[in-house]
Amino acid sequence: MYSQKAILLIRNITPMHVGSGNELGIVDLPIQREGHTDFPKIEASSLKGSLREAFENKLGEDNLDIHLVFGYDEDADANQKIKTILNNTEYAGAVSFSDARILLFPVKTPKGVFAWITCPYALKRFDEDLKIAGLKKLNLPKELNNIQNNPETCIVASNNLLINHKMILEEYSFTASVDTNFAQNLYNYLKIDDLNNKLVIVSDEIFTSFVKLSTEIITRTKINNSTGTVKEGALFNEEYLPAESVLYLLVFTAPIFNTVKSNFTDDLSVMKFIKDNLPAYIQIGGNATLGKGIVKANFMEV
Amino acid sequence: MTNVKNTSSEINEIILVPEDTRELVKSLLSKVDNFSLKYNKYILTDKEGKINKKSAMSSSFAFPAKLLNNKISELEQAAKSLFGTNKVIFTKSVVDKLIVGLGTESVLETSITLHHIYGFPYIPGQSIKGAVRNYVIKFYFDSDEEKALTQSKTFCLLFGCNKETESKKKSALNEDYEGSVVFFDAFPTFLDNQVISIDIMNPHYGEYYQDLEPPADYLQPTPINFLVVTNTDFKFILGTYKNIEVEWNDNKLSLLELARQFTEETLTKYGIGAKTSVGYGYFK
Repeated sequence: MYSQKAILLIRNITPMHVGSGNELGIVDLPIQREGHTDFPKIEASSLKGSLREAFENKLGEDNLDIHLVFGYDEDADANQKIKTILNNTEYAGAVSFSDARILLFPVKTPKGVFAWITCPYALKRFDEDLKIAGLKKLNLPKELNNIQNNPETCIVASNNLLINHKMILEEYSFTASVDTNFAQNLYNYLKIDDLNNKLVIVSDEIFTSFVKLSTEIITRTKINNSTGTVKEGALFNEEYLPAESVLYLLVFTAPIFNTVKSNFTDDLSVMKFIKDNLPAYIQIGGNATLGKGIVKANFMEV
Repeated sequence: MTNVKNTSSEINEIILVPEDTRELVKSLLSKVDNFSLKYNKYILTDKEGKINKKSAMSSSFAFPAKLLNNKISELEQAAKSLFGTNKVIFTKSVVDKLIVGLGTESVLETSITLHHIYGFPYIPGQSIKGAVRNYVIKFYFDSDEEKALTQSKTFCLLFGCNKETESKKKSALNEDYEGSVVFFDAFPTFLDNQVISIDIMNPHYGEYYQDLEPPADYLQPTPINFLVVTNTDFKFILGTYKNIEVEWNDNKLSLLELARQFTEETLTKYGIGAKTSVGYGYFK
């Protein structure tokens, strides 16, 4: 069925709010998180909508190929043009997405502005997902277990990050060991500039604290037009996954599930369509008109 | 954590951070390149252990120019990729001083909006869109928001609207509509020691404003320091996914062009951020 596989990498250029509804805490509008880890994530359904929109912006809503690959959408077929071409509008899309998982999370540091943190759990999971996608597995550093047992330590990519052999993340400091090889190795997959100057591996526990407590909270207000001051009762807090966060997702394709095939011959041609037409930048999540949720997206080539 | 040791050295004490970090940061304080960390986390006290607002606000920070240029060009590339030709990018300089986020919570009483990761001052998209929207309502619709929403399709297309206004009148578009114009965050185009400086407000009749005393000369002035942005330019980016033709004052033009005009008018005539009535927040 969905036999072609690839990994799509997403890096936030601006903060992203993919919401999970209202909550009664300090944050009125929290972001989506995984139930078992509390790591931020993006639901596959949210992603599919955003990706479809990106394709529509590029190729037009009434593009037959989009309807074949993503599934038929009545709302995007105002003149029923597509419906008349298709014999049957009840069919599955030929592309499938996993939830987007967090790999690197940005944290402020006094030296180098910010660093990207990750943890053994996130790295091992990424490694497994590389295998699923048929890509070469990472060479994970042997010291991962060490960090896990000693949460006050970390592995850093470069000496440039350190102050007296210590790594400072926000107001916390960690005893660091340097591993330039692993950062270079990971760079070969992610192709993110400066990764070899900014990568820090901390324990799962520390990583979880940062992704829970260091997301961006934006307080929104409304201005009263007659007085020009903040309107009462119109204040709310939104949580954002900060700029520079890096996530990835698995993309699977299958042959077209409709008798009309357009130019698609097999699952490979569907994957080619996705790869060829995916815009370099995509908007995901809420508050699009405020420039939020802009990500750089590219398929991992190793 | 607020228990502060008395030191005889010249350096003030840093509070609110764990002790091991404190020692490390002290040796580095003048070189911290993330201003947000310096301002919000590495708070300095005087020898009596009281927060020293002035030195906490001391503005020496060096943001790597290369990183700033990378981030600005990334935003420009994103706009190009998302909007194609339907984008405008322009630079405006701060005329005197700019304050965004003065009232946000902070241990130093007054605050400033700093980027969550890069730590430099910037103008969030929501501040720009909000200011432009208010400007348009004020100068083109007699400060009447409902008039704008119910009578002007163009206004609804630009800023978005709900199907019904708060008082249950039908909006001009008669549907829920997300605005068509995207307002990006505006980043400063260069950053050096001069860009963030300390300003002062000095209310003379504080107790009068709190309804405690009549306004009289025996009340003491209360100097309050706050940070302002000055001597820099900001890069503004607007875009639309489609080219939308609209009518405005009997002229036909693109919605994006109209949004650009409004934004430039707002920046030059109306100001953005706090204290615009006393000359802050204007651009040229």
